[in-house]
Amino acid sequence: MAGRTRAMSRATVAVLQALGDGATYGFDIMDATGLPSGTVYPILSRLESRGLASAHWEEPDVHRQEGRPARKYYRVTAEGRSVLAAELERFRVLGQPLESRA
Amino acid sequence: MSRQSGLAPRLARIIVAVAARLAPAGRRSEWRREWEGELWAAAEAGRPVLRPALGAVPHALWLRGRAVRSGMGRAAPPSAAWLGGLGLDLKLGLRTLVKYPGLSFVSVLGMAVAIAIGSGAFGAIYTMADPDLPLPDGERVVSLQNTNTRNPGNPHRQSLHDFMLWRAELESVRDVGAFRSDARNLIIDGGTPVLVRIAEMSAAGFRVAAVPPVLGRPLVDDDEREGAPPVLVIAYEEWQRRFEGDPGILGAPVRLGGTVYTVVGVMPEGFRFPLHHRYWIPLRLNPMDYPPGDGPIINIFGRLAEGATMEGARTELTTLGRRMAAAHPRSHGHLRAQLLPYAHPFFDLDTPFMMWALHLLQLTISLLLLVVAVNVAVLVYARTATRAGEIAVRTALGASRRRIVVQLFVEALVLSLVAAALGLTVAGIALSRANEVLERIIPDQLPFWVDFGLSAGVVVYTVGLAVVAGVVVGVVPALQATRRRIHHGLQQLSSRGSSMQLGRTWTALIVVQVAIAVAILPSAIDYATQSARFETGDPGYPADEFLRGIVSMEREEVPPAGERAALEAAFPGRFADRVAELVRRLEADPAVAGVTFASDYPGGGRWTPVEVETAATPEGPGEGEGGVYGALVNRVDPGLFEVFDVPILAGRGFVDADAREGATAVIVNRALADRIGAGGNVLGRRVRVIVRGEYGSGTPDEAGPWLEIVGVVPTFPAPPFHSAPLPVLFHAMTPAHDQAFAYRAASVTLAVRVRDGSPSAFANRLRETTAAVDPTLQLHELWSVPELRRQSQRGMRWAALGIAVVTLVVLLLSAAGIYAMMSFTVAKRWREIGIRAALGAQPGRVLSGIFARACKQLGIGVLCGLAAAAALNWAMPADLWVSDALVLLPGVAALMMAVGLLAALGPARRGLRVQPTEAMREE
Repeated sequence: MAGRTRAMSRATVAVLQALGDGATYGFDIMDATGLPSGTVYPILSRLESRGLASAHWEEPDVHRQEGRPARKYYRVTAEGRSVLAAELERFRVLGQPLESRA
Repeated sequence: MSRQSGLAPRLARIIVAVAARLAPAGRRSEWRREWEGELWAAAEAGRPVLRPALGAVPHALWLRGRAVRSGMGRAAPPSAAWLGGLGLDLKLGLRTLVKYPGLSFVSVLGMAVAIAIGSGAFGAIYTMADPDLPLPDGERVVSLQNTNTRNPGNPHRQSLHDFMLWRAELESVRDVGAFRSDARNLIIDGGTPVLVRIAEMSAAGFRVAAVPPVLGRPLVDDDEREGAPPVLVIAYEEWQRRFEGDPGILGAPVRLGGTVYTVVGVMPEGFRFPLHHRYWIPLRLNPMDYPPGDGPIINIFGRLAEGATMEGARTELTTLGRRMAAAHPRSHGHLRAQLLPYAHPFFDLDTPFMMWALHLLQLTISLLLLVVAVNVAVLVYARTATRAGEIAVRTALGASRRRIVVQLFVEALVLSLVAAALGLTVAGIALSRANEVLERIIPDQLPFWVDFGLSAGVVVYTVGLAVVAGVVVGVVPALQATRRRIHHGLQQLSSRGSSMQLGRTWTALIVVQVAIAVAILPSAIDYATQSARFETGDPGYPADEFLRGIVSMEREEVPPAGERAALEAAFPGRFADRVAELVRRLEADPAVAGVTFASDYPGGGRWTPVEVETAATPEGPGEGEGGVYGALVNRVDPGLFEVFDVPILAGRGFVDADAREGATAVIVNRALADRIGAGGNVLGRRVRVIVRGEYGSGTPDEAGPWLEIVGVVPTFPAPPFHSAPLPVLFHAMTPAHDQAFAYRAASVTLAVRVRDGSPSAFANRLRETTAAVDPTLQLHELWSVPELRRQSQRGMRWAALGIAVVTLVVLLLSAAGIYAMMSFTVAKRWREIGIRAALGAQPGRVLSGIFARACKQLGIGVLCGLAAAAALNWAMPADLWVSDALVLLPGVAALMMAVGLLAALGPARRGLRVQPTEAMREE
């Protein structure tokens, strides 16, 4: 289910951009964006519910072998990529470009 | 894995667990998994976790909000209105907290200290005694043992025959196994020998633990067969540390003491079953070698079978126990088979009495909070009295008594919850420090389930404490305050006086509070200063140059009956020879300034307490009229005083002949000489040692032969802080001629004085020399004496800090109590002060009249406290405690009066500022 297009906050775009740059889980994104966990996780949940990011759980064999709990990984969807491009352009036009992380 | 056990990861997990309750039910499980996975990974990477974990709360709330918006959470709980009221009360509570900073500070500090002590004790007691075993279905692992009805609390563990019967016949307990602990020298080519603890364990132990090895196999039943090749399973950590993670470890030969074992398996990280073990060898015992009720001491365990209950298993075990008692009445008539949760026997929690004692201990510690809470309640009551007008307005606007009580309770709850959070943080830090300290003092000896730290149980317990404190602090004063006819009119609304009374009970409580403060202050100050000064104590010998350890030798603990006599006869001689050889080699070492030994290291705490009886006359054995004195006995190498640089004050030192069988020369220290000779000459006095039989056991007293005092040495080491000097009687011994090397006491304390350098640097060489003399010769508890002293000093400093904090809290609570009493008095008689001032009286004089009563109460409190302090000091046995506390009494009384007067200063100034016109206007 695609979410309707609406203006995103800088934080949301930063999270989406971090996903696009290859960050895959919450703490990774915190490192990439400098945003606190209380901001990052709600955004991830929102992006997931809007279909801009997808999530999957780590294979049981991997985490069991290492004796730790499973992690949830996120990645940006195709729609997320196009929304990200549009949002980056919007911020650029507004004169508030986000730093390119590529 | 170890990174997960720190304070921050624990707190982080607790935050997530609490936040999970806020997440919508349908997503809660997945939400929690995600957060736990992230926090685990972050902790493993050594990253901070506490702050990120706080983000779990907004995340959960966001999800909850979204669920509500989308209709999932539409059904609001019926208590929503109540919750709305609660929210308002919480807000008011926080506002009150800020509005009365002094009272909030004192109350929170007092309760936080009490909660920290209560929660810390709860965490420590229950992690030891009633833990969740970190094993799959750990609660189904059980211990089995025989209790001794003749000697309750002292179970009979020579239960090899019972073990065989239980293993063969019990149906409700499967995989019944046994273990015994031992120590062996681990000798690796090119490395320093290390003394390691091993478990001789049935293969069933690995089935009970239900944890597979990471390499190779666990022990199997066939390994227990007589004549099977000696095999060994090692812990992951040992594999990494001692064998550098060698991938070819399986099949490698490893020497443990006198035997070479083949490694067949490596257990995973953290595995320590059955107790704290890292090396496992098969338990090979043949019941035919021992009669029933005899044999080695073993611990028996098992796992409840599928569908079996503790009660069912107990019934079955009791039946088997009766069968055994019927078959062997002599050995088993007084024994009762018992099934317990696995951890209980290791902390002697095998009788209902001990369990009750444990719960009672916890209750007593928790009562400390009650005492503090009652103190705080006094303060809150006094404050509530000043809020009578506010309460009257709320009542007039329609608030019920219940509503007002709830509001005051919530205000108190805010106080106690803040205190709980603070107390929990302190308890968490203290518990994690306890882990570190214990790991340093007794490395690798804590049972595998003992992990001091904050658990969900500790948090729940603390919240419970906070609620109880909230009830005492809030509800009791609120009920008192609303009981009066405050709501009958608003005429007093503008009045600063209150119709509430600070009745006799409350006044008495304040007086008792002051008395308690005065009573404990002298001892507390004395103890804290002496503890803090401990490090400056003079040991009386060059302690910084010494290394000490206990030497013993690997042996068959209880050999089979046929071989016992021969082994017993040969062992002492063999051990003595080895010790003599070790001493000889060490003396030849250029780094060693001296070597000596004793049954105990001087001041070491293993002394044997005895009574020393003196003969009536110095000339010959008398009838014992001379006197009996409590003393400690230490058997020492004749050269000990020389190695320790201890001078002979009178007479002579020991010579080698004094250590021969039948020699009668003894040396006493100054403390014992002073008691025996009352300051006079004790040389030539005859004494004998009486060892009293164990109380209640029927063992008779034993009197040794008459001995002669040939010398006096100083009391060394100097007694630590508040202790009286210990009287000591020294015998001479050599390893070859002393009964200390009787069959069951084959150990001796070695003291090595090191030349030029740190003693700890010589420790490895000492281990190597010992193992080179004989691989079965063991060095236990090897410590450098300066390090040991540093540890004691650290402990003392912590104790001093703890005492100082508690003392400060008591003092603050007392001051706050006095302040409340004075404040209340001024508020209550505000109008009277004004009117009398208007009639021409000097305000100061009016006040002094009013305060006279309060001062009298303060004086009564101080006097009662002084009497209690003197009684406490008098009741303390002089042998144990040399205290200067009495000297401090006048100072403490003055301090309390000063604190009281300071606390009264504020209310007094308010009283002096009363304007007669204002007071008259209200009339």
